[in-house]
Amino acid sequence: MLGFHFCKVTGVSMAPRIPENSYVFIVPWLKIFNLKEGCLLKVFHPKYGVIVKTLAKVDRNGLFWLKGHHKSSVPIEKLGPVGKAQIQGKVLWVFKPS
Amino acid sequence: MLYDILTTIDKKFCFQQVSAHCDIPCKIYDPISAQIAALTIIRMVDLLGELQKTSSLSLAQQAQFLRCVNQKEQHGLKVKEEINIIWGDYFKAPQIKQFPELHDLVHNIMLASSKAKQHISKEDALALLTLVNRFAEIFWTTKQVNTYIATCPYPPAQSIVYPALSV
Repeated sequence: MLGFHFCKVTGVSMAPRIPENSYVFIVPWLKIFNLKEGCLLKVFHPKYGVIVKTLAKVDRNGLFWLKGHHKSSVPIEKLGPVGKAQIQGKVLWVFKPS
Repeated sequence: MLYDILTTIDKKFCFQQVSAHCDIPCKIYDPISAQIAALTIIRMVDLLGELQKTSSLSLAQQAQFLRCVNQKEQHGLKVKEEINIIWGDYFKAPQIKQFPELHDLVHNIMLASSKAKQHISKEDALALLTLVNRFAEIFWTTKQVNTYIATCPYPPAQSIVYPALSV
């Protein structure tokens, strides 16, 4: 309704960029613009549910490949590509626990 | 400060949670599953051998034959899966350095498991168990746990490497 929302991050796969229990500020409609590699996305994944990941690559078919940052993160090939319809928003700010 | 404000709002309105999903290394490894699967293959071979003694199979015996073959197949795959997980996830460079035979041993288990699946041969099934027992022995040694060999207290009553765990 407001064109943005906050989410709480669980899990450590995005550490140190997004430590566990951080809050992320998400703007859903920003996904209509060109998404660049390295940006943080909120995605609905068919296997892992609602996740937050970094955009690793946009392939020639227009599919989005995602990655984590921590060594325990699910690898990029296991996550597989997602379509734009599965992207629920772009993370604009991260509020880390102090 | 902003974080504290968000925490307060979260407590009141409960923000949606997004998962930064991980493959959590659970560190729970035990070769006993592979050993039991190898024992099951031997047991299935024994049961199939008993069916072989009759000249023609009744409907019930045909059903049992199918079940035994299916179970033998499934447990052959289970041996492979269990061994692969421990080999791939647990064993690291220091343990491999300690036991240079490990890669060959695992490969031989894969081959022996396929062979045990392909044939109804007690010899092949026992060969698989011997290899899996050696794998278990190496595994427990790397964890500084002594092992002993005992006959399992159920059919097919074969020798198994057990960890000597103290209370």
